[in-house]
Amino acid sequence: MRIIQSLEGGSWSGGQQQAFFLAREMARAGHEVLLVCQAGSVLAHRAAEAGLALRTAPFRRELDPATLRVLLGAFRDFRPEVVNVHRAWAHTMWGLVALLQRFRGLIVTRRVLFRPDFNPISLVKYRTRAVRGYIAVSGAVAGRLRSLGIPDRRLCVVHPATDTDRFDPAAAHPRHGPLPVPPGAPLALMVANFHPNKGHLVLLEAFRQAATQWPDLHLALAGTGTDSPRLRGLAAATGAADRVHLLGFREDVPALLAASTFSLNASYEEGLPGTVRESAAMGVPVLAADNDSNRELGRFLPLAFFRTGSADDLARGLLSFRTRSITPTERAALREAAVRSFSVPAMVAATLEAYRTLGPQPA
Amino acid sequence: MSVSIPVLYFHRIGAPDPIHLSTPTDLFDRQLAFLHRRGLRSITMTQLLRHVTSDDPISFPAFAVTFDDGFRDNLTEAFPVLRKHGCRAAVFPVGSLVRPDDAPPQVPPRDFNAAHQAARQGDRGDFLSRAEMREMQNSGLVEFHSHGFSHRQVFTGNRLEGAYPDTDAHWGILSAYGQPLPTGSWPVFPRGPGLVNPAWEPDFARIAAAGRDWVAEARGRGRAAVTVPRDWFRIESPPQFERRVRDDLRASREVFADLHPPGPHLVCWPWGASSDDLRRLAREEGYQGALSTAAGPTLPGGDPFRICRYPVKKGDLARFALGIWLRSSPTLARAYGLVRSWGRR
Repeated sequence: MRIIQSLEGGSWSGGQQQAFFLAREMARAGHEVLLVCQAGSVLAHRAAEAGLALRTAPFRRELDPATLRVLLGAFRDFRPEVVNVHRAWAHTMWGLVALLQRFRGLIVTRRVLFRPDFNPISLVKYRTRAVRGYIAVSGAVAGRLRSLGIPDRRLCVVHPATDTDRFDPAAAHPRHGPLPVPPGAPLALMVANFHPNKGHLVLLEAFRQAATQWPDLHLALAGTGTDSPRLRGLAAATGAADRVHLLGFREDVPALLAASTFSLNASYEEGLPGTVRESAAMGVPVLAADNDSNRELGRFLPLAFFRTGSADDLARGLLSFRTRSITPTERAALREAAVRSFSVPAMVAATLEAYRTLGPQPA
Repeated sequence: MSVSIPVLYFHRIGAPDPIHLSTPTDLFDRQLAFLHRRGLRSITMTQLLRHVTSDDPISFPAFAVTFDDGFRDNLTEAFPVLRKHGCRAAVFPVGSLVRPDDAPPQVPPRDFNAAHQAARQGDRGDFLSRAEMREMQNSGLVEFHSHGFSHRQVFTGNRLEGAYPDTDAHWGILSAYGQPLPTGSWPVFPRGPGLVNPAWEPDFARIAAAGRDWVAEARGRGRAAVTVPRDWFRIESPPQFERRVRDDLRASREVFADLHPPGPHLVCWPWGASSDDLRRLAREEGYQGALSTAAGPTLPGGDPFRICRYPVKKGDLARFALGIWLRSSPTLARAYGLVRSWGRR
């Protein structure tokens, strides 16, 4: 099959990772694959290193004539049977290409749960027949697409893959920055950008409640914005600021997980959170909000839950780890469940099956 | 030269928000900074109304900021940003959701649905109190007008449309029932904004006594229409409906009458919906204007009871700039209004 994988974005994200996995593994399986991504992006750099067929486009804005020219050129040169786009701007621009070229093999992967705005671009791109079908990364995302009027026959759910080689407890994980936690102290870690939907406020309130009852528990927050003055102020209000470590953006998440007793996901909503899957792959237990996507993950991974948005319930959840000892067998079982359910080969096979179900048959 | 004035509307600032009616605080800050950098000046509701009624058309680039529902983050998150930029704004709280002055606020704030569900059970910790409104009003930047008293949805028929809690746990369903729903499954029927639809008030006891698994019925119904008997509802007569609407409009006008400068009383239509009858009743109940959620230009000679607004939701500053541009040009705003009304059909 001749397949284009495409998305915009300069930094490394879940979508970039999935597109990279798909392009690399589909090429290894004998398909002709072209990756079309943003010039100068981390993905472009890694794809070039991996020797993948690559074309870059500017992707300066959602409607971008320069990008359209590049995409039209790529389409005419490559003559794909399937174009799989992974983000909003690529959806818009490839939708235009599909309309102009009367192409019926455009497949859109949607990873986020929020409802698209009713702006003119969304109105067209979610209604046009140029999009053959949608791949949702979770049942919750599929439900949201259904609510936009997209019928089941144009929908598939394919869970994203986790990089179980990178997140492997048996591998060496050098730390790139400080983690000032006393040796042997229990550590709870949350990896999430600082955004109201990620639940940092609820977590800090829960930590304030639990801190006195578990005086040696430390909390580390990693992710863009977690070192902001606002969050520093909130951490100070817990009364245990010396045990709250605001790490900011970190590349060495596997090392942070390796140093953690358990990890946290306090989000109000997610597409299908990568941090939960990565923690499981590292054999690190997870205390997660019981939102729809986390409950969906709970069908595959043994997770502990608290009521979404409830600081009291989260505090109880934190304290439940005080008396809980995690055995090596439990850790191994957690990793095995993550590898079994979210491996790259399983995701690639399911995606190819989705192309067959949704897209035109190969010539 | 007459200008179309973008009337921005927000719900929450810096709050957790799975249904995306909240704007991050730093983005809100950048949005106001952008407007001021571009030379736009914020105006009051009185100025906006006088512009629309052609009494005193505004000839300089301007914008208005509004907040719906009266969430407490309007004070804790939005107000410091408004003060920083010297930006005027109007908040439209729901009359029945005003927090008693002696009730503690909810910290940390709940998400949108959870806040409304708690309020249905008497806990209005996520909403502003009158003392907090007074504090904001005393700054001279913020005024308060009506967003209706109940902000109810009502059931409008007896056909099964879904089941609670199998659907999005939207607080509109709770408001249609008019009471908290105990654990279990509850049928969801067609519903609409309470001020434009006569209510089909469900007989709660009868539904509970039926003991049916509504989730299973809703999932299993396929395309077949499933209805329950009409006598499971008390259907409002036209006089009862009018009395309820008048009571709601009057009560909410009275709640906020002293929380805005002397002058016109405005209402922001709950759920964005109005009808000819509702607009007539609002006039008769002492309102001089109303804001909707429709898209379109805000020009002299417009309908003061159908002032269009720009829903500012997620997105980056570039998207916001595009939204402002679309609503500042009368021609583009008209065209955009047509596209959006087509999209909503």
